[in-house]
Amino acid sequence: MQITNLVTNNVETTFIQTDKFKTINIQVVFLGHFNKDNATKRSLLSRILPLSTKKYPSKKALYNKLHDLYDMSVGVSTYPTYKTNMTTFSLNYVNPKYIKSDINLHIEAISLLKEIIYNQNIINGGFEKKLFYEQKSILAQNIKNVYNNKNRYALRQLLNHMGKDEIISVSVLGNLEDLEKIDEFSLYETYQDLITKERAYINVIGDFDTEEMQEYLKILGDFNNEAATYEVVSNEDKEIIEVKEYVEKQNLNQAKLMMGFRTKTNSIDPLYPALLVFNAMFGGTFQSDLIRVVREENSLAYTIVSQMIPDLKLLFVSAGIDSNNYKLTKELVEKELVNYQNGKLNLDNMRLAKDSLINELIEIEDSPNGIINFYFRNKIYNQAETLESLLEKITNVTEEQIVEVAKGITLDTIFLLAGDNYEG
Amino acid sequence: MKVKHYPLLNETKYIKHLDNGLQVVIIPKPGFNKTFAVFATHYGALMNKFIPYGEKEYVEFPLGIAHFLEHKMFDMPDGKDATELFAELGLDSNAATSYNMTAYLFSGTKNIVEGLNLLLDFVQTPYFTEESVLREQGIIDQELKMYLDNPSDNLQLGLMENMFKHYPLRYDIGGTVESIKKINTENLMKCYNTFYHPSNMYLVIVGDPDKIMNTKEDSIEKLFDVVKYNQAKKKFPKILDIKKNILVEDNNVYKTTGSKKMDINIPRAAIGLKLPYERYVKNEPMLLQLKLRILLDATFGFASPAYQEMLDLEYISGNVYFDVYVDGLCGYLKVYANTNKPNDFIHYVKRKLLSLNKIILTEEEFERYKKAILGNFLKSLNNIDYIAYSYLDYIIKDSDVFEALELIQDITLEDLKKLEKYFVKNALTDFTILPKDENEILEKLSKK
Repeated sequence: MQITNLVTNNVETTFIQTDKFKTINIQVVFLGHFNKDNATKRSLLSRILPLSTKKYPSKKALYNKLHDLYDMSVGVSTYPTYKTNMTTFSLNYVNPKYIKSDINLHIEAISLLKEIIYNQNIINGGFEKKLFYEQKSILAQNIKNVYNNKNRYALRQLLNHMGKDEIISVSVLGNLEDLEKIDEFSLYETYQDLITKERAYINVIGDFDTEEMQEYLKILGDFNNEAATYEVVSNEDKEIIEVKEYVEKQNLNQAKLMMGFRTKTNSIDPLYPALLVFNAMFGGTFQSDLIRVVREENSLAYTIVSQMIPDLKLLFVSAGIDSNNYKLTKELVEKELVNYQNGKLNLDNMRLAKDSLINELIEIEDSPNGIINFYFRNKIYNQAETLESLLEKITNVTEEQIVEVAKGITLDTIFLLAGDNYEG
Repeated sequence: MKVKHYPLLNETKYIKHLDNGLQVVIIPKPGFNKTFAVFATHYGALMNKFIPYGEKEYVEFPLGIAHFLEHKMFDMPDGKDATELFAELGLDSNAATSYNMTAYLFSGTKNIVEGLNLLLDFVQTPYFTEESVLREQGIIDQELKMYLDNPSDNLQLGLMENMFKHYPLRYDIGGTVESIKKINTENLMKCYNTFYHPSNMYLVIVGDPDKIMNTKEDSIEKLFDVVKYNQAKKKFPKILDIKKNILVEDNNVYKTTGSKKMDINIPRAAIGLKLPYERYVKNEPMLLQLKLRILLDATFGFASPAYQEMLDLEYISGNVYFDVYVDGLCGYLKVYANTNKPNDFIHYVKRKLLSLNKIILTEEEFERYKKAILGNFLKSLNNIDYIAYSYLDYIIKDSDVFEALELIQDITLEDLKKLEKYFVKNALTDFTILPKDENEILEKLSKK
């Protein structure tokens, strides 16, 4: 695998060459600000953009073209890292060397990407009405549908309660109130801002010739490379005075417990590798302490996991339990955290956790998107981390570092989605 | 050793049949760090009635026993759990039971040889105690309850219960809270002895043999030897034919419609079409599945006029999904979506499905879908988990995933038209999950 950083189309570009995949993946990423005012617009925009263009004005026309190009896929995603947003236009197509065909798939693919980015089906200064209202209605349904995925719903409620006025309460999916206010014209403005004002980056991965690829990319023309300040990770430390508890009852067989913690370690902190190891030991793997204590020793839950969002300095523990075991489960989780803070670490578990993390890192190299995302994240975090360097850091994490990370973790809010039988 | 190269896909497979009947398959993926190995038996929730090894009469076993057995296989005689031993080696392990297969697998980037030995050893060492069976009944009981709150699981099960009167697809793979209570060490052992003979099993290894064996010389041969030595150390009873009795039924659906209420806010509906019972031979199940996928994609996919029309009429509130299931004996296809107009959606989809008794696809459209299927498969070959799973899934249905994919390039529109006879009214059924209305919930609360 060879990684080359260069400038094409006026912007920073990363070429990752490897012959182990049968595909070429190309991304154009726009970096902008993420906040309550634009989250819903971005969400709707990312739905509409990959569905039609001036040249292919219907889903049918566009998807016939994609099928003709051997199931080429084109997507637009929007995702925040703290107060920064990444809008990614991505292409994924079969490497032409596996196809017996006269067409040049590279040129077809990149031309189509250009259509999607620049040649949207705009009518009188707004997105084509029918598509716009159709997708607006689908997004509204998707927002409502969160209620039907009880885990996701419980996490959303936890975040809403935990950080009412913080960025963590802003859903990347958007919200119904803001959605109501968007029309085809205001969304067109959001789109214009995206492609003209936000700073772009290009990533390409696969088996290709560097010079040829640079030539093909010229099809896309120049992008904006103006420097702007992006806050990609949180540096805030929140003082917790009292743990907040919220309970909601629904007609369920199993309750969902969500516990939200604040950490003092973000993704660019020197202690970040220690946070990774802590999370894996605490509740991130099947060998974790929470599984051992809550599931194996006390039979309180079929699943219990801890997950983190390091750019927001958050950590969650989620479990499916019987509603009436709520207090006991909560106490066991809190007690386990205190054990870590007091330096009571299981060294076997620490070794297993490191092994598991190292495995995950090595396996990133087996997935095109895994590789691109790892290196791109590090680029915007302004870190020179490679898979190898992170691997070494994880190997060298000490007990003291894990205890230090654990001491910075505080329970902030609990949300219990309880069954009807809950008597608390 | 048999070697087969598939030029269109640029993949090669190596196969060896061991003396004890075990079939070992290696699919090399040079350059990949991860290895994925699956050890699977052709035994799943469909095979609930059979003649146990060494006996003469058919015996019916409790529902969910194949899945229960899968959970119990991880118990080792020294009191350890195989998962922990894999973790000690830095490997991830897992297992899954489907209707016609139970698969044990591990993946990782080092200690693969040790992992292979552990995989073969733990699956070939049955160890059950009454006490651990009892504890497992508690754990599976919780697992079954977890699914009860999931609308998708309920939709699928409701559709299957409507479609089949006897065929075991109508039962959850995990069985029921009642049926698992009938499981004991004795009937577990009978299932094990009958289906876990090496001659009924497959071992598929996908990864880079040079990295696994840490040598560039004859690494594939040496990898086979690891398995061969492991098996040569063990004694197995003689190979017997397994007599299974799977209840089949006529081609009509059992019930034509049904619904259930849950705590959700958007209804979801599914329409199923039962495929006739047929004995499929080499590669036919997979080709049938691919042909039906083309038809469904052309009828309900993103590029279809029907998809746009359902959006325009607000029959669906987002995507419409479809899937095809074919095993060696029977099958079905289903179309499902979240919908605020479930009755209209069901009616519309049924009408579209029935219209397929006269397929009006053009040659151009047909060729386009064939290209898309090839491209889609080439793309998925980046994923070694997918390769191992799909290889196993099809080998159990007497199909070879690579071969069938090359064969699909020769399918004609005429072949597709031979499926027209499947789209008949008495093969159709539907199921809907509806939101509980608030009055009902309040009423229930006041009773308490």
